[in-house]
Amino acid sequence: MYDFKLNYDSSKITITSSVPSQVGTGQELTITGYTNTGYGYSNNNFISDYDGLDYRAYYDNSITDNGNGTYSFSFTITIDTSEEQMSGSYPYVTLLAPVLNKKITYSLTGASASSSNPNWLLAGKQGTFYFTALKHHSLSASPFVTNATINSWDSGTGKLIITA
Amino acid sequence: MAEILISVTATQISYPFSVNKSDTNINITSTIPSSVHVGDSVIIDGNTNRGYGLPSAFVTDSDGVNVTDTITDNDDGTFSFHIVLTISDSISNEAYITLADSVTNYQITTSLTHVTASASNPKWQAKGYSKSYTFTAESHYALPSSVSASASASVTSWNQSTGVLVLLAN
Repeated sequence: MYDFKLNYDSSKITITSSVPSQVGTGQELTITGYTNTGYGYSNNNFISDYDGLDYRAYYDNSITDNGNGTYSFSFTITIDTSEEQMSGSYPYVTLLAPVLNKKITYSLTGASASSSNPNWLLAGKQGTFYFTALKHHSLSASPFVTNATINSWDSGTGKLIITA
Repeated sequence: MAEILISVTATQISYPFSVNKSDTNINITSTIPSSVHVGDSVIIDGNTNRGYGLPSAFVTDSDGVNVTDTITDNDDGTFSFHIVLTISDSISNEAYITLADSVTNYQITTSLTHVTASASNPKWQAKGYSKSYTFTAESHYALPSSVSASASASVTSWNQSTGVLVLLAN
């Protein structure tokens, strides 16, 4: 049996599955958890480092955007303590730090936002938003955005694309 | 928690506004805006030159506005008007009102024999309007059974006993 470590930033990630403190070769572990509000993963690659896992490293990994500022994730690993797979003295997995998941807020004057607009946007990701001028109003030449970059704005259609 | 604030502003659309008036005997004394927004109130005040009146249906056409107009016969040969417009939510491309032309406002003169006219009788009467006049016979005289008016007016009614004459200006 070997000591096992799951390394992660607990200020940004909550693990919901039971993580054993000791494991044996061939043991399969399914680890589940979620990012805390305001953090998320942009793809299924959420392991930054590991040792003592078999060549597949991890599989059945999935991630779900919960739409409330959190992401749920799950992955399965198989412990392999052979010399080929473990260079250190114990197996471990280190989870990638999630990126900021930014909450979308609005300041609207004479306009309304589409109810299908994203409510959250991951740092580095692009989001598309739609706005409609109220009756007898016309959208201004340029919107104003904080903590994100405007990629494009079409005042005729009300389509705004930003990158967080 | 990081936030992205998106500020989007839409400004009210300005619509062109005009008052259509061709009669130079009608004067507008208030300032007319060239453009308006839905919900705006526009007040149009004015008057007529002496000898001209206004028809009761003064605002003959409009679009994009709700109209409330008040016409006042000043009985000095002029009329005044006060029009309150509210730019309507139903406006499409523009807002306007069209004013009717003025009508003749006649000065009242009388030819009386052993009869006196009430001091409160109207002094002017515009075409299309009816007004009442009161006359009194002098002592020991009786009012006539009929009265006549010039071609500019017609007698609607005459009451010999009360001396009340109703005229319609033509």
